[in-house]
Amino acid sequence: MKTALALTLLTLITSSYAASLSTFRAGKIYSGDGRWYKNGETFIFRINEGTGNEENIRFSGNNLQLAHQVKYKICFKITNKDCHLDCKGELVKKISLLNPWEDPESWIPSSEGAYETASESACK
Amino acid sequence: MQMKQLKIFSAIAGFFLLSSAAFGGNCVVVILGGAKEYMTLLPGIPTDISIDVENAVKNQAMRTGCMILSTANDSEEEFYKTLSRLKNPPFNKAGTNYHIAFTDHGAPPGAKINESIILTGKGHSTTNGRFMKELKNFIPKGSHVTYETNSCWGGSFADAVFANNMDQYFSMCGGSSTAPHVMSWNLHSLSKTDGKTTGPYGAVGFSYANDVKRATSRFPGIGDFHYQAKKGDVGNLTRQPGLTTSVAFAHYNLLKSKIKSPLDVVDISDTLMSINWKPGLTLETFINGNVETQTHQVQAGLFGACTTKAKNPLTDFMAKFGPLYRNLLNQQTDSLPAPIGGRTKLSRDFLLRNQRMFSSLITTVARERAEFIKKNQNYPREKYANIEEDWKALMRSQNSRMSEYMFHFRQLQEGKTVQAFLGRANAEEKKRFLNLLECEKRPML
Repeated sequence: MKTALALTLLTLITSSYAASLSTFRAGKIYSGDGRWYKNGETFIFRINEGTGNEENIRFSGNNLQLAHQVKYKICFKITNKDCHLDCKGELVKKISLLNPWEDPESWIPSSEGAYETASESACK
Repeated sequence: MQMKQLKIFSAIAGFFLLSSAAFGGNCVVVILGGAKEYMTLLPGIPTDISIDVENAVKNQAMRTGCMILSTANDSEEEFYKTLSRLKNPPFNKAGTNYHIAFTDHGAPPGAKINESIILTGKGHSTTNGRFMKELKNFIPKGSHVTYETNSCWGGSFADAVFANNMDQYFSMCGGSSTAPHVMSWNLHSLSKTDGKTTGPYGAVGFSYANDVKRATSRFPGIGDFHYQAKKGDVGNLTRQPGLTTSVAFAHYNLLKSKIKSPLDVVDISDTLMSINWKPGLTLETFINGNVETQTHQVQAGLFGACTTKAKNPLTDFMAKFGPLYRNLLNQQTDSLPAPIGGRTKLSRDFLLRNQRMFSSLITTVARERAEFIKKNQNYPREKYANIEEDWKALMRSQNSRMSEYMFHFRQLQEGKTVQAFLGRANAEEKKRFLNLLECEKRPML
């Protein structure tokens, strides 16, 4: 009983803790600029590249056929949990490819510390 | 396993740093490394930037001859256990000066400044509120405590200092690499070319401080540390460079009074580097235009004379930038308290002296970009990376040529902010501001 209570408390504490540090929310869809990397079966969408706020969202596949090292605006869904620096996602839509001379737009956190989610219509 | 090895290595390194510097002067550098993680990334891509920034800062801090206390990859309790050593010998000698260096990039903000996060390790953190409270426990009241930070997330550290009246409990002040809510763009290492030191903010500052100490036997004040660090932190010069505590105090006071701070009116670097072309007729016409005529048009735009009906990204830019330029140059800030008044005068003189060169540089930037896009507009997809590399090289070169101008514009913007603050501050606020300036002049270590 005591162990169960302790475990519940611990879960509650760690989940609220994780939420306070999260920039992405589980199950939400985000859209924005970044760069796509692939290496074998590893895929990463990197946002805010080169800044202190860099994030790498990992994907298990590349159903949109995005090209290695190319900058895109895409929509993706966070699949694992509320997260920061350790996020997993699922590709939803390719909005556009950015030319090599175009700068990706920075991702800016909302007042809650998380990034803004995409509107439903933008990612359909 | 990798993390464990890293922690053991850090502990050994920390012990070595402490033991090798234990007989230094009464000064302590506290390096807060935060979360260090070697993520499984792709070949040839750098690891988390905070690892490199910490190394660069630590290398320079080791040369100060001060004692060093460092922490990284800790839980909150481990973090405070390490910091609690400040209460004991050899860190607590009377008259010791302390410098706190944040080398992690920070975490998302909390709803309030005291709830905002300081990372102590991956998945571990503390809050500004607790950090300030513990600092008061660990360091004797009245001590001279300076700080530097390149954290870019959320509430600024200066804001937390004010919220907890730390500047009144200690003589506490510092500087940051970027303005609040602007993402820090750190360089990974320190380099010296043609007598100019560039690199991460804190590392450039320490390098300068060590040079001053060698030459004069005294460390500079954190105000001078910040001035030089900002000049060399070229990654952030092309964004919105950070502030000293005194200027941040002026800035926050304006915001608190619902007055728009001059620092927020416009992002100089974004404005200055915003000339971009799209393939098309405008680009062709511009490239075929006369350089001298274009430079003359830019200079006329700086003076406020409108001489052209041409519509292109450069003329759009001048319509936006001309008024900003005149507004910053026409201010009367020479009589502001030292060192702010002197520095704004220096910046204005520099810009007036180099007006022709600046106009020519703006034209060159516009032409180089237009020519690049014309040349590469039909790039084949497989050449994407090569074209981008060339574009980045061009941007680096343009930013570098523009950086001194950006630095001086930012100085003028800060002067205007202080002027606006002093114009409305009450006696108590003025006193607190002047105390911060005094703190920034005292040797930092």
